[in-house]
Amino acid sequence: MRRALDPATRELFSNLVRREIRGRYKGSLLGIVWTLVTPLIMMLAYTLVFSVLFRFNDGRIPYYALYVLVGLAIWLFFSGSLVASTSSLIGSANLIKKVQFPRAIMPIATVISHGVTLVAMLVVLIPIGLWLSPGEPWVMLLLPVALIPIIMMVVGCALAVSVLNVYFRDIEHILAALVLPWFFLTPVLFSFDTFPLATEHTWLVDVLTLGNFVTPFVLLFQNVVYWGVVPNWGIWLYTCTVGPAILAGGYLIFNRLQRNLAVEL
Amino acid sequence: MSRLPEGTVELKGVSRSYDLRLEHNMTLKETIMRGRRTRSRKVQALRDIDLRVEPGTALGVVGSNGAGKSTLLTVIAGILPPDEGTVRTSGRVVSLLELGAGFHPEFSGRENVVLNASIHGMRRAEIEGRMDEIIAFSELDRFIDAPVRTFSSGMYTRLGFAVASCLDPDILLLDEILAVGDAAFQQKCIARIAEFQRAGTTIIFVSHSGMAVKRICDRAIWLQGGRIDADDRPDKIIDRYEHGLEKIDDLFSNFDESEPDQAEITGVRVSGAGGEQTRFMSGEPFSVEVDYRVDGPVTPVVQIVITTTEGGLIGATDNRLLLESDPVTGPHTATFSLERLPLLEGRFRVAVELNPPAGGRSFHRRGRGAEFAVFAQSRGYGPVALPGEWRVGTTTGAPG
Repeated sequence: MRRALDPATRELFSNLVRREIRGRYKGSLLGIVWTLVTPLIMMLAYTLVFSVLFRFNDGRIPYYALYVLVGLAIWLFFSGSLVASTSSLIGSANLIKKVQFPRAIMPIATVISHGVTLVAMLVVLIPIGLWLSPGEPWVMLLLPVALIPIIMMVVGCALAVSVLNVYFRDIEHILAALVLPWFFLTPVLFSFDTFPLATEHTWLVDVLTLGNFVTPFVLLFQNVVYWGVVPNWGIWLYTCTVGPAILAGGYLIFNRLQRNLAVEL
Repeated sequence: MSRLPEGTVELKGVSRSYDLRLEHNMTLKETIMRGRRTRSRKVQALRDIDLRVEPGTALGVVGSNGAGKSTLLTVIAGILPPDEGTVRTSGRVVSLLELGAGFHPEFSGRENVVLNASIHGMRRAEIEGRMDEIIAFSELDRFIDAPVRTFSSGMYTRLGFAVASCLDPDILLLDEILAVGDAAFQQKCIARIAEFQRAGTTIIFVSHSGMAVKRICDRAIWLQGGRIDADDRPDKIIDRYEHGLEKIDDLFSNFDESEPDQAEITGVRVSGAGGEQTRFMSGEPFSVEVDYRVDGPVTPVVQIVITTTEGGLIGATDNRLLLESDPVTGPHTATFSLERLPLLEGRFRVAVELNPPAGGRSFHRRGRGAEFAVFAQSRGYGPVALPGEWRVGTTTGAPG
């Protein structure tokens, strides 16, 4: 890890992140604005369908559109990073076969470039959240702390997925198929509190919370940015143990499998 | 372990093999169905290599294709770990195994310079400071702000080398990069490499060009089958290497002109559909005509041997089965024809020999009967066209 700290590596890092972001929007008219347009359109569509047409929201989630946007911000950071990291090593095969540099930089740069999208959304969400949040505005101060386990979780997943996809190329297809159902099982469009079945079947909530490791991270983020509530100790405990654990696991997998990358690609 | 002086490369007992995959499980399904079993052949690219290169040395690496030259560089660069043994280097290692590796097609030349240089471990401030120098070296000043996808391959290479030329390595690994680009630019590259050498950079240089190795290097090794076969002064290695390439030629060195005895070859022609010619397209009709005169009571067997001009044997054939029963004196012509010339690109030579049917000393031979060149449009490489068919389909009921 000493190499990761040396200044030349840091610069390579920032150059790669820049390459990733600029590469994504190069030649498009609106450029980086697209990072905001996509979630906004999604928010409008979901709000229209679930809040207006289906009247799914009975008013227990005030400002449903904001709630959806907050959830989307964190979900898109997770799913976008994951899907993009499947190709982060394969897409740089030529480079990896010809130049020696710390390979973990590739998937991490992908995550950071999606982190930029998250930051852009936060710039919009934080003031609105402070203004409309049903809870205490000062809770927003917890945001930097809350982001740490979230980023650890996403980086860990990205490391694992990027290197596994080199060995099993259908990981990316499995992920692409999984992303949508996974999204609907994560409390982005609904809240467990307003879940019609939740009051009768608390076990169902437990299954959805514990069976989907992303849920507590989403709850953590929603609590801070949307509800303005200090997340309960259970959420803190979970995210602060599972986040580092996923990062460590992802790093171990990556390190084990990266040795022969140059021949496997 | 002792600290190596900056610029040293040290390999101890390094071996590296890789799998030549005949069938590789690329998907989870296959892996689950069969376990991670692959049908593969192990290729031992490097065997027990011991090598120490002192700081400031320029080491040339020669050897035929598949001798392990490129694997040696990737192992030294740290791109591949060795299976056995240790590789130690000290100082900044820059590997130029391919010029312009990692260029982003949508980015301008200038942006790619920054990106590429930082991949090779250069700081942004350093790069900005040398930008003008890099652009001047690449001779691309008018195009430097255009996206590199608009570049020709020559421009691409030039930019790649220009970035490399401004790096400041302690150890520089170069793989055949002089094989591309025009002659003038190649000269410029060689001059730049020589400058690196004068500045005390350790250089490991893989090349097929004996000239370049002799000019740049002060030590050379010859790899054969993954082992270091010889380690000596470059001129000695290159002489031996080039001699090695001509080894097969030795087989035919006694195949030159001999004194005619009872029969004499008077002419050798290669012809195509339209008569005598020396340039052919692969797959065209092709024939060799041998004019000879019989002076004594003998019936010579006409043998032709086709080789590459380097002496590699392609094939030999004779007309033993077609012999006239009684000797006839006077001029004869023997013709060997092919409907489709099965050779790919290259220059070839036809040697002709008139032999007694029962064997023994030949009546007359001509080592250089005729020469011809072949051009090909087909895929594939090597001297001979393999006139087969490819079929690809999913394998059902595969074993395992």
